[in-house]
Amino acid sequence: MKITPTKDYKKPLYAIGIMTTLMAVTVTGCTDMPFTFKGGTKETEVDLAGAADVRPDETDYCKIDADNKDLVLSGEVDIEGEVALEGDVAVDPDYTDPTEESLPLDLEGGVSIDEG
Amino acid sequence: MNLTLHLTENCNMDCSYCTREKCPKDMTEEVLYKACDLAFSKGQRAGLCFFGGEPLLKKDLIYKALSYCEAKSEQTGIRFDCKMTTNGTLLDEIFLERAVKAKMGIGLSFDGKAQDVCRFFVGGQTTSSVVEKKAKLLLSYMPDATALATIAPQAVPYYAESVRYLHDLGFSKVSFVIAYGNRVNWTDSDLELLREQLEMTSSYLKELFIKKERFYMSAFGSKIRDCINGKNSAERCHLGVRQLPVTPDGDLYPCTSFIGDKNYLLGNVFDGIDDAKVIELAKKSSTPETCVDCDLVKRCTNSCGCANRMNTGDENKVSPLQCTYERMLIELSDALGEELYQIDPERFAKEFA
Repeated sequence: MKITPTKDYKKPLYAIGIMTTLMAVTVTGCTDMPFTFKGGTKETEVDLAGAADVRPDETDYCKIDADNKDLVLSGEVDIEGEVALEGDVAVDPDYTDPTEESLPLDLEGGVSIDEG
Repeated sequence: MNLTLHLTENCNMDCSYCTREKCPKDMTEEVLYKACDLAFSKGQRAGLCFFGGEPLLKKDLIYKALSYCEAKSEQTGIRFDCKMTTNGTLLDEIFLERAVKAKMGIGLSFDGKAQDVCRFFVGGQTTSSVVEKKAKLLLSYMPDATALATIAPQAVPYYAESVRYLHDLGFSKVSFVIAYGNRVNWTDSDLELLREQLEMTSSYLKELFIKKERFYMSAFGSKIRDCINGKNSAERCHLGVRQLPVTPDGDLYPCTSFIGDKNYLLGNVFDGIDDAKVIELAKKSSTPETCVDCDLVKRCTNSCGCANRMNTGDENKVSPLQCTYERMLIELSDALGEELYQIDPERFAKEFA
């Protein structure tokens, strides 16, 4: 058991394939899958028009709706002396009240690493 | 804003990995209402997660909070969300009817087949039969309820079996996390066995996918989903921002593992949040030094300040345990993702994108 930084990691093909599909659909407005996948079918079960549906994180299971968005703090403007929170979210102490934004409610319990 | 209300520090169970110290301290009504007011004071949404100790020991406070917040939501137009994490032993029909009315999301803390390995009533009696019965009751009212399993080293041999068991019981969403903190002692052989169990779980998830059964298992699901969506797993942790715990006394902290450490006290429900301290905390947050050059830095939870603190005593320092577990989980999740994608890309997109 040790800390070992991973090198030469490549993004998995499933992520690349899906994102390519979603981007193509966004551009074309087409709701059919633009590509033929290995093992794929022609029937489209998923409505991919526009963005993918907004999903809560895995612990936010109760109220799925459009309000469940990722955390976005105000104060994304680059101002000298900004403080970077993990996840590339910028918080400027003079500009942002980090508690003012509306965030999805998390389920408490255990160590909610990802799942929480 | 979102708050986690520690309604009591008491609990009717005694779990081997629990790091919370039990004591008979309950939240007062005064603190409760002030906390509700605070939740409504900022943002367009007020969220409360009822927690403890065991929150159902204080059902009276939950009922009062619900009534108060529902009325407040009506008056202000601010949306009110509520959730609860419970061991489930005190669930009953009256409570569940009220919870359904309030659209409460309930997470049942249930370790599946490992329940009787780590989780006992105070006094030592086993809990699995009671919790299984309550799980069925919960699912009859809330079919979308989530089971939350915490896997300590001694529970590892039951991991895959527990996933299957919880699915068979009727849960469509389960969250599995490994236990952290000073009450568990992970060894290399535990992690080797955990890998085997995760591989078995992965096979089971594939089996369900082929059968077109929708079942969300967080350990794998979140890794796959975040990878597709380009979401940084580390983003989940925003100490002092995302959701503040409120102690029975009304004190506010960044996260549950910080409770009691006055250096991290961020205010209280009477005087409000000390924004300067929140900012100070944000300034101190950083990617762990050991993770900066890792290719997985944005796919793992290295910056979960709560886990880091539990494991290393420092919210910005990751532990070998977490690093090893995260690398293993990402590798296996990616392998599962590739397989599911090849089997049915459209359904894969529907479930994960």
